[in-house]
Amino acid sequence: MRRLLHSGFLRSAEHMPERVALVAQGKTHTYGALSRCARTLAATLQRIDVGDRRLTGVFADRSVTAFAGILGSLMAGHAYVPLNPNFPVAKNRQILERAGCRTLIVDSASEPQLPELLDGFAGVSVIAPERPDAVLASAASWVPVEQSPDDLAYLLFTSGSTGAPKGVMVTHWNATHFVRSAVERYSITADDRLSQLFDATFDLSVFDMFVAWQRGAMVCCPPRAALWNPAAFVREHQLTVWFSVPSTAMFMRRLGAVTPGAFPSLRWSLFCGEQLPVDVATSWAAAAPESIVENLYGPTELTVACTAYRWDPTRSPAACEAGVVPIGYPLPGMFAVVVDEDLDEVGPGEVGELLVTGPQRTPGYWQDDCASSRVFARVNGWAEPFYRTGDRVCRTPGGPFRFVGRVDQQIKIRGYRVELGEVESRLLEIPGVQSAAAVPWPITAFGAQGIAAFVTGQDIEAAEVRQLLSCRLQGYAVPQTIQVLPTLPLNANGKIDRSALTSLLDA
Amino acid sequence: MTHDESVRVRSLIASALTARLARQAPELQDDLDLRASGLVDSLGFLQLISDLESQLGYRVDLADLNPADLTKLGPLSRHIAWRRSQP
Repeated sequence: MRRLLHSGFLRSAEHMPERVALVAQGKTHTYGALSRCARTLAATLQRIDVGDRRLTGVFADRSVTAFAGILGSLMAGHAYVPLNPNFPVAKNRQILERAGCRTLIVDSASEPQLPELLDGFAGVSVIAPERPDAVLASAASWVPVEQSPDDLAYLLFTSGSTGAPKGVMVTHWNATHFVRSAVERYSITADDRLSQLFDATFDLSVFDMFVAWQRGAMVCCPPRAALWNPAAFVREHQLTVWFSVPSTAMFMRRLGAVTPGAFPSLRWSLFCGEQLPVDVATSWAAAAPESIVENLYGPTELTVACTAYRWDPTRSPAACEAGVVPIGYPLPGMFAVVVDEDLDEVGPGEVGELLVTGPQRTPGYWQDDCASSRVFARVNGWAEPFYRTGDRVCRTPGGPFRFVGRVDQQIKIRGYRVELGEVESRLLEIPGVQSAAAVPWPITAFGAQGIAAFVTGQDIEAAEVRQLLSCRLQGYAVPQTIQVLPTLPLNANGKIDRSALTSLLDA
Repeated sequence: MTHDESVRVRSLIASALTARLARQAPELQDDLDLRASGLVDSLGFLQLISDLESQLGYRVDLADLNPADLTKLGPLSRHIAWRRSQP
């Protein structure tokens, strides 16, 4: 089979069908069993005429159907489009509409949302394998599909500054390059047990699933209630690879769960998605003394992660600046440059925008050439286009890249990308709101912890605006505080004075 | 003493939720799950604990609370009070 994202899973299922592939909702699923579920879904998808729109939405949450749905979509020659039952229905509808999925796999827990999700959408075939009366094809009738590594593996929607989500197209080539690179880097074996803390709408989930399945290892998915503090889950399942956003570790630390020697089974502790504070790296290294801590970095457009910094408990603390761990060095096959506004490379030690290319650079945004042309750019002296990360970094000769800030209004909250422009667009949709501004708040040394918003308008109340907004935005993007002002302050250029707004909060 | 403290903690949580959400928190049953009901996310929960510590005047220790009970009003309030009563 050619180089496809699911090839490793199929190989593991063939060679070690009795090994456990997945722990989900408290149950274990062997490679053989998960493969049968996936083949059933793939065969069922193959009976549906979707024309050339080979995109299947997966509307499921941490269930075996979620994982089998992702695999089944890929095995049917479709790209999977993750939806999130924990997002507001309006958000999922927006993704479904943008992707134009004609097939949807849903688990029983998410099914009650279906009528609202699909209201007004014609021609979407729903596959609900957990229904007692589900009519499914037999697993044996699945026919392997001829696919190209350039075909899409998944389509993942991120926050867009104009309010419309952008669909990042990730090919099998992109994804398998990352997976193979990670399997080698972390010397994954069939004896490993990987955490699975991320929702499928977060591309870091690709690491947990496909790096594990490539080598016949086990994916351990804690129940949602344990996601905030999965310390007991780590010990119960003797996890060997931990992968989370730093916020999770910070939260666990605050709850007193990150104590010296607390996680002796871990051999890798990986963090990604937001800045990693030095004290978190230090305390986690002590809690998992047999593990190597790494800080990974990478936007979805560069397929999960494209740089990494290996933490050395002895030498790294002195090498860190401003209390945060560097984002490190490019992963094998990836190339990074730091440029100025004219896309000319800056000198050593100077701050500029980080641009990255290589086999993990995705081809662009789904049906959005305009957005694609803005961020996939050519750099003098290089033939390949680079992805403009929008992240400002600096690097001394031979040293690691260090994150300095953003060139735009994008922020990260617990690893999730949020465009403040999207928050403002959604606020302006609320009846009565005439103008709106969102600012990152509160801000700590490690970045934004949340959002504050200001609105003007007639007969509006902050609580009601917040309530209506929570029906339009994911929870992490809903401002913690909303203030109604008579007018928004403007600066000398006539633009909204965001620093004046922030000072209102800090007053 | 522990019961009184538990009632006090519970009352402070209710006040903090009402203040933060700028609306009345729903009727506070003992098994109300602050997370599952959408009243707080993880960040909001940390802020809630931080607010509580300011008002209680002592550090809240949640290390050995069952994760499933972490965000349930009754068990959370009782645990905080019980930990406070331990030497």
